[in-house]
Amino acid sequence: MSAGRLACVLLLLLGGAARALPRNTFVVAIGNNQGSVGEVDLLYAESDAKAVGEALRLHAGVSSSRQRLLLGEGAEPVRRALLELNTQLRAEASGEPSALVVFYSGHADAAGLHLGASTLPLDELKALVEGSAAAVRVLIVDACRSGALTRVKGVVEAPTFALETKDDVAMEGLAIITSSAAGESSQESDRLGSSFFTHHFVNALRGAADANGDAKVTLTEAYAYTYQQTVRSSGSTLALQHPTYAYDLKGRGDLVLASPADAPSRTGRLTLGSAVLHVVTKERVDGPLVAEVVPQGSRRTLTLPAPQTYFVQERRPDEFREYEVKLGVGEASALEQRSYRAVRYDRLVRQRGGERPFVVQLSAGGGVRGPQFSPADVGPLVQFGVGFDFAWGSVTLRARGFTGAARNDEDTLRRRDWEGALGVAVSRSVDWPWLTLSFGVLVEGVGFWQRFETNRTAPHRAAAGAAFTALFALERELLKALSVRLEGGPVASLFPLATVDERGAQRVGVGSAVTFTLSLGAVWRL
Amino acid sequence: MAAVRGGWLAAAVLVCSGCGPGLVDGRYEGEPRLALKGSTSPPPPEFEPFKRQLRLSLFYAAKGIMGPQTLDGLVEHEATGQSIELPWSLDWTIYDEPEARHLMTPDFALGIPVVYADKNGNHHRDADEPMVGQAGGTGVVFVKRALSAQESPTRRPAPAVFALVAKPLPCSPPPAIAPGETDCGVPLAEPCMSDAACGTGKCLTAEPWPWPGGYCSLQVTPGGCAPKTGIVWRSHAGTQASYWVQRCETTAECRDPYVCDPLQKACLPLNNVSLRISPETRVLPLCQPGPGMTLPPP
Repeated sequence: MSAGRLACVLLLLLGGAARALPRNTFVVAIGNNQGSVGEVDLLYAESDAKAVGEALRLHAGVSSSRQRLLLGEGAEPVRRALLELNTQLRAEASGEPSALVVFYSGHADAAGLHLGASTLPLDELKALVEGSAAAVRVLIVDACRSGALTRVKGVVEAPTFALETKDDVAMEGLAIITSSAAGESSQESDRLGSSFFTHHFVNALRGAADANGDAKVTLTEAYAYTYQQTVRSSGSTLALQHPTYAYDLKGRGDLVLASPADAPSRTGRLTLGSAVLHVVTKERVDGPLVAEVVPQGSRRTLTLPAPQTYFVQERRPDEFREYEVKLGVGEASALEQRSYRAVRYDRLVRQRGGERPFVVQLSAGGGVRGPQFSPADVGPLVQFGVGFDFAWGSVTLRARGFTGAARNDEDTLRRRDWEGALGVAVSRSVDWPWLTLSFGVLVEGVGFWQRFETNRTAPHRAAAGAAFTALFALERELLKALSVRLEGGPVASLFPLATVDERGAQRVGVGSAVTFTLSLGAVWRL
Repeated sequence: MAAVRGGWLAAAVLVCSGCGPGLVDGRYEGEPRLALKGSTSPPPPEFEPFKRQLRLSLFYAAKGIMGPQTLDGLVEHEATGQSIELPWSLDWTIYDEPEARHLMTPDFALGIPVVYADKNGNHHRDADEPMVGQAGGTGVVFVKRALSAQESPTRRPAPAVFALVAKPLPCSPPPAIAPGETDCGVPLAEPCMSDAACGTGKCLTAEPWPWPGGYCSLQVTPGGCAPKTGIVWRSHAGTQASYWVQRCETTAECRDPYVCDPLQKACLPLNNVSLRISPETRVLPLCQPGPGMTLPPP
């Protein structure tokens, strides 16, 4: 299903208000890192189950006493837990609306859940959930090939759905959401510290999925957001992953899974910037990842634990904006009202951030080149360059011009030297907060010209040679995309040199000279 | 490491592959116009006080070449100068043609190597700075354009040239003696140690200059044989006899180390500038009048 269509999936009920999960909601969160024999242990399945339970407690108002957390349990304990819960639901049936949310994270295949050495068949799981006494049953499965539950196979556009509605009918029915289509794998991310699907589902409940800005996250919104972000995240791996759904719900309005704005104490609300990717970490830029979200709708507000200091990186197409936010309990903070540090394009590329694999740079500068043929021929130089900044370094094509006046040792001959060079520079950079240090090598083909100003017989000379420069540069950003660069280093040149003996006879050989270059210029990154 | 060495070698090969004349550094003074070898006689004791203040320069006879001259009548070309110490043997490279002030006619200049005491170190001979030595038999002639016998101060045609010449210059038309058809039994210009090695000729060894390795010649006699490869050259020493020597147009035709005198068209021992060090103020004659000629008064 395309993101656009998903974004437009709406419940039909005209004028109908969304209904939140009832007070009588039970949650069973199952997580098992171990699968069947031969399956690699997962890292985050059990922590994902805990995270979903916590998110439903904070944002859906599900009491801890109505949550069952089954971590590392086999099929029999899970079966027994579901049966016991169903018995409890029937026993407590009082006409009050009720709901059951079952979440599973772990290994599975098209036949069943792999709970360590045991397997719980998918048909049995579905029957246990569907057969619950709760009016609304939501089954969420984060596992490989879980799309078998919804019978959605592979990358197939699932049709937009519409819920049948009747007035005056309480919400009831079964909704199933799976993390991947049948035949697809569900993936964990070390970077996120979670599976792709669960990470985005939890952030959806925090408020990232609030597309209509009503401070509530419905089942539809949560699925649409989780689908989009899971496809985006898995797109950076070798295997795309498409969450699926199957809804058999009827009632009035959409089912509200979370009300982030009504979160209990020890939370705060952070309103994000534009509808671009935001990475939220604790304390500092390389701190524990809290959320990777692309906020939907106009509200773009996440409910996060507080008090806490967060580092937020807003990844705009042209730059990263980095914020430090101290979020207090009950506090509402908006990024657009805060100062930020902009990270330049090339730094983004070197940090392997942003969407651009490289940045184009144009440079120009002027400076001085030290003595080469005689102590006095120091002179001005100009240089221009066009290059590319990659994650591993920069490659620049450079052109240089130089002129200098000189006299011979006996001070009997005046000379003017000219140089024109074309070369390639390769460099690496180290980014500090206020400066970027670069170091590299410049290799040039050089044209030399010598013009003599004398009454003596001294024909003008021209030759081709080469130059090798060890480049060191300090760069400081002045304006957006414009930096000033101070650059220099030793230059070793090779050229044909006529060695003159005492009788004035000349013999041509390879001459070399070591001098220095120093220049100040500007760099403009496109 | 091997890759780095290979890179440097490749660069060196590339650099040299289109070598051409190459670039020059601070040691370059221009294209040499004349390259001279020379030596001096030992200095007398009276020159000891300023033996480290001596300077060798070309002095040009801007007022003409006829008659006796003193150093004050010559014009120094400072750009040709170099500091020397006695005794001295040299490689002396001259890069500069004479300037207008050095020319005796618009197209002709004659310079002689002179050593003087540059007491104040200003690289210029001042009036109170004495001459210490001069070249006895070698000078430098500059002819801007080819001159006819009438235009030339030597009354002989002169090609456009800047070269060493035998001094004194012959200042009379050449004798009207044409070379013959045979070598007259004399191996002209061949090395010798005595007359016997030269057949019917004469072995020149020391007069008026040293002849490196000896030089077979044939004295000019009225009605005598005229070698087909020869040209008449008149010595300015002793009896001032005339001899047949090897005729030439370029130095390449002459036996090393002999040089082709462009004014006399003869292979002569010019490449060793012998500087005679003595406390005299008189400039050695620049011009050798022809037989029966007298030079005009000064």
